[in-house]
Amino acid sequence: MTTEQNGDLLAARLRVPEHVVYRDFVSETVVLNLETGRYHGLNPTGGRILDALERSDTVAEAAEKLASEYEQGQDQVEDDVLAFCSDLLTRGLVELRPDD
Amino acid sequence: MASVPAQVSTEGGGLATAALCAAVIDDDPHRVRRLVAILETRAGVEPADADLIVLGFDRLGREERDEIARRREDVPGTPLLIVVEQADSKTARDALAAGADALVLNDEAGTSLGPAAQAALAGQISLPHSFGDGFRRPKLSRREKQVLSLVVMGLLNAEIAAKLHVTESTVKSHLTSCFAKLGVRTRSEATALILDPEGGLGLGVLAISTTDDDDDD
Repeated sequence: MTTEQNGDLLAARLRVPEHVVYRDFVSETVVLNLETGRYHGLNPTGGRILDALERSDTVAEAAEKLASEYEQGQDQVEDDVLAFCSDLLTRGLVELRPDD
Repeated sequence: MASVPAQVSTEGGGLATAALCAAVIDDDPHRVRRLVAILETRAGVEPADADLIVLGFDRLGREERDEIARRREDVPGTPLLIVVEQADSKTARDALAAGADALVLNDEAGTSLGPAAQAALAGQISLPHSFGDGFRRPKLSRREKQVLSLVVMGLLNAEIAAKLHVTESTVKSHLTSCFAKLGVRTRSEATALILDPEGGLGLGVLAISTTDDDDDD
């Protein structure tokens, strides 16, 4: 990803689409895509990031919350969150919120 | 050639050769007499001396499965046939998984036990035809897969209905159809059939492809 794309994604507002259901189990979060009928497993960190994305306005805001929660550097967390988000987008497990 | 039966008796459906003997093991003495008569074998044959073993049960539960597995271990090379009063495709699968070579319903033993014994001696596995559903990959519609995949996620019918924007009775009717195709009776049996690490259908059975039928809600 280019720096510009990263910047776009950081400012992006993401949400879990209507056709995606996720549920927390003891050791993982299971994400079901009803369009494809496929299940995806997130480790606890992935589950925590998804949760933060849902409760934040932008990707940058979610990264900020996570950085303070995990007491990690903002840059490092942003990189991890961006990589994760781009993976989720590719799999259709999150989508860009339309501007309202 | 004498040790391998060449034909099935059409009248009795028995072993059709005096050279073979079967051990019939069953708590029900009445059923033992009947199965011995059907097979035209001698009574009181010890499992270790038998050419094939027939286990008779009222039903197939955990205890019965354990017994099948135990017998299988005792005589690894001997055909093992199960005669049972009641079974379904799930319990039939379990019986084969435990090591049985054939399952015959008691009501059908008169016509089916002999041929099943012949088949087992020839190295074949046999089941009542209707129980084959437990082995075939069920063909589920797109909507059925969506409903079932949400059941596997642990959602209740009302939650599934809300998620898919259909009524609860539509969800129920899809589930009834799914259960029939999977040969199960309950959502927990359906989930177990899909997720069972040993021989389960796997989550892939719920993957949606472009060739899946659409059904109207």
